[in-house]
Amino acid sequence: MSTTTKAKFNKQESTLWLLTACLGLGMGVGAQFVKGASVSTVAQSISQTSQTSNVSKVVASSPNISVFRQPVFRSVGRTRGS
Amino acid sequence: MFALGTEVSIEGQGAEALWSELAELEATLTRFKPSALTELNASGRLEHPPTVLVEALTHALKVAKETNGLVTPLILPALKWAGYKDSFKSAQVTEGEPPAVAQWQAVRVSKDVISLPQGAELDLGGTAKTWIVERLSQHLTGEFVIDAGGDIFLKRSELSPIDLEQPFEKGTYQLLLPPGTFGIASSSLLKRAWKGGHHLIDPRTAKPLSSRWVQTTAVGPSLCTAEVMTKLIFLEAYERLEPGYLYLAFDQEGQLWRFEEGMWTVA
Repeated sequence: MSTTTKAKFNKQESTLWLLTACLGLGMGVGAQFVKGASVSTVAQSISQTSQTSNVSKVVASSPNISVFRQPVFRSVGRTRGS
Repeated sequence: MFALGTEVSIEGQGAEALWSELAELEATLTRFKPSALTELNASGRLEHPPTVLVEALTHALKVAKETNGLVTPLILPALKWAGYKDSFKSAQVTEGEPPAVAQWQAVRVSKDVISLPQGAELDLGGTAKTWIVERLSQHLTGEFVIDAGGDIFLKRSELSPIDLEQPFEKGTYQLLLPPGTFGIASSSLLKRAWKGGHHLIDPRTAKPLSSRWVQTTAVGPSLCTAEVMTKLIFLEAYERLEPGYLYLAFDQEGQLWRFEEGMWTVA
């Protein structure tokens, strides 16, 4: 491998690593955002924005219970007729 | 794990120790395998009954009393007539008229003996399932989630997203519950159903119930109560619905409705 080719490869490899790191960081932050402690923040945000969005609109609510047209969060259970 | 006629999962501290208790409870209360319950059903009388059977039956009769007999464990002869003997998969409707559902007041229960009115048989069904789940939960410390075939009892310090399956495979809604203890129960006329029948009997007619709804859901602090409420919605006994619960129902077209301030509105 020539010096020029090697330098080119290293540059490509560095770019790949940088992209991978960014992707990993992004996924980690995203997962943290949806999962766990930040759910309440997300819920509040979605409840506010869903009034103008068709993505996941609140269709019903009783005191403290909201119902969305489609899943928004990773669920902890699934209810269905039995 | 497969138990109580469905898939059961238990998450929480102390969950491992509960599987054996679950197996024991099921072995006593099932109508599908030889058990204390089947022994009682066969003879109409059982001396020195297992404590668990006494407790589960006492609970079922309490529900029958509170619902004025609309949710009663005495529907088994009618359920068999409707076709659900050993398996709903091979169920076939019987000709003629169904046997009347016996009066719950005629059942005698004590720690020494249980006796049934003549011809009566018990199916503890969903009432026992939710009673067992709540009983098991008392052994768990801290947060927990118990899922028994879609009937869920949980205690969490965070918000709890729960998927709500739509009938007719149309998709999935999602409930978002605040931190706390909740029972989420759903019933369907489309499950455990066969040509000409399904598993939910109307005690007033002794036949599979007819309703404007195909699937009902109730959410509130008690899973036992929520499960009973899903049956009362089918029976359209709205005046008996427990206050403080969320009630949802899908109609024959798959439209979701919610019950609020004494009336149903499209959600």
